[in-house]
Amino acid sequence: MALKTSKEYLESVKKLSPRVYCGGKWVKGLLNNKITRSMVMANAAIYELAEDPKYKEIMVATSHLTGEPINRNLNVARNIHDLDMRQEMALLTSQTVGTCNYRCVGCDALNSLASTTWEMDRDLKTKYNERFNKWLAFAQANDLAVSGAITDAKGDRKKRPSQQDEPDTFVHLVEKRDDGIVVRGIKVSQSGAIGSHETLVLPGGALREGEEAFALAFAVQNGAPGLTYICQYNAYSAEREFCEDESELGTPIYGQRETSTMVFDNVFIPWERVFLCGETKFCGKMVTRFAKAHRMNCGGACKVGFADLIIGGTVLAAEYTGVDKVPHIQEKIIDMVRYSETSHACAIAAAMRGREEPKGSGVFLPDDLFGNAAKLNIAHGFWEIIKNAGDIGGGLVVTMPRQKDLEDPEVGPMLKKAFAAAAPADKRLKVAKFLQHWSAGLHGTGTWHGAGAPQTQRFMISVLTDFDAKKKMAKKLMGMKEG
Amino acid sequence: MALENDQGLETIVVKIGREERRSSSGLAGTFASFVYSCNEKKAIPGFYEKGLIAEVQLKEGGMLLVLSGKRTEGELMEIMDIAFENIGAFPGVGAGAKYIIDVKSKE
Repeated sequence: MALKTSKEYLESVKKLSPRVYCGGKWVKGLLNNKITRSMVMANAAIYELAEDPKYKEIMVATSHLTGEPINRNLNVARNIHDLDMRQEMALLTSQTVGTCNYRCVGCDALNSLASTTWEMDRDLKTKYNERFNKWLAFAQANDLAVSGAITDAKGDRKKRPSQQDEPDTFVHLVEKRDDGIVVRGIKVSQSGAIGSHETLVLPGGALREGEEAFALAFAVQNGAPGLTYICQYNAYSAEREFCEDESELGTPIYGQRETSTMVFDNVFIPWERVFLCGETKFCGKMVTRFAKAHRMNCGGACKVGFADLIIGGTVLAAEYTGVDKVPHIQEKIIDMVRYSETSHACAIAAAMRGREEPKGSGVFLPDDLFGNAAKLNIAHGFWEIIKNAGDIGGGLVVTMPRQKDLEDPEVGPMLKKAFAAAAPADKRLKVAKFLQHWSAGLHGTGTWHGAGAPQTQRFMISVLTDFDAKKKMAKKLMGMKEG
Repeated sequence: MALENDQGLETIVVKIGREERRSSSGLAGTFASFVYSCNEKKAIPGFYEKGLIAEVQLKEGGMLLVLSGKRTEGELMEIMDIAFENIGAFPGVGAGAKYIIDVKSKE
């Protein structure tokens, strides 16, 4: 099997029984819990996209290991076209599910691993790349859903990992054995591991000599004994959990972005799944390369797909209210498009200016400056986009009654009278609920922090920009002498 | 651990009674994961109730696994199916090392 169907993925999930805690209880069956099911259904929709001939160019790639067709989520970019299709996949998947492509972080992690393990083998004469390629060929052959876990709990930010009072705030090595390693610690804000077959775990940041125990990269199976997933829980979780009818929700099937805290309690990882163990010098490169890929995809394409949905909902809201021809409304909608498409342009540029890294590895990574610009631009732009959605959607976005109340024999007629405008009340409430999900939900802060908070992009842009060259060209034009 | 083949796969065969019931193919190291789970975590992957494992004996090229309670062969097979899916081994035969897990019910 090279490509799994959506149905086959769902069948495979029925057999997974990870240890998942969600909203005060243990989950018995990912498809039996409304919250975890929304995550699984989003993943299933991503598999379905790869089945559609219309999206083959975007969703299906050719394995550089076997020559077989594979899901692009498991592809290592080997050229500019691969990078371009990768960011297009991020756009398409977001437009389709309105939440995470939960295989996205895994895809960017495996590209970083392909690049960095190759360099480690070259410089250190290790066998990590050979090992990684075997794992990847296995994942591709079985079309596994692979998620990624990067961010450690981190503890007291003033202290290094080894100085923390609680060592589990960073995932770390407990034991090296003949057959593998034993790890423990906590990764947070992890998207979609609960419904993934495997998760790639990378170091959360650059490490120094003396911090070898924290220098780990590995793949962990979904149900590895000792691994517990504690799901996020918020007002939207409760709304989904306790609603009578999920069709009333802002995004009925795929829901909000579902993350979990992953707790590793002495989890065994066989050597065949270990891709870095103790080599602190390469942790910074591994994380930077991951971020380079992820900022192009997350910042410049995924969130642009969300913006497309928000813009669509906002235009509908304007039409249904009868204000779509009002000049300042049109201007605000154009601004939403401007923020969004500027970021997408940066993602396309990041792909087009991508290059092989390191030379000889065969792995292509996007341009770092454009990728960081894409993410930083959308981090700020997304607030503007949801602000305008709230502005045009009106107070109704947060003051609306339940959609179901329209059917109540007593209050329904009153509500229909109150909320009908240029369209009937049911259409207005449906769109208002959709915009509530986006503008009063989790996505503003999620977009701000996803793929790294903006301060990390500012830092990278300051490092990557040649300010001296800019000063020099300004001086030359002014006729100012050097010195 | 046995040597892996070029593709880095291994095959794990479940034997219940006299019959070999299911072959699973996983990445090399999958059997080691299963052994660690049984020996160190006292758990079958995918199962969280305590006391499921009554006895574990490592043998050349495999292991004997005795599960607590009175269980039919079908129930034993179902448990092993779930266990392998949870540690990334899927129905099929890989070309690499082969391990046999002899599964029994205690009563």
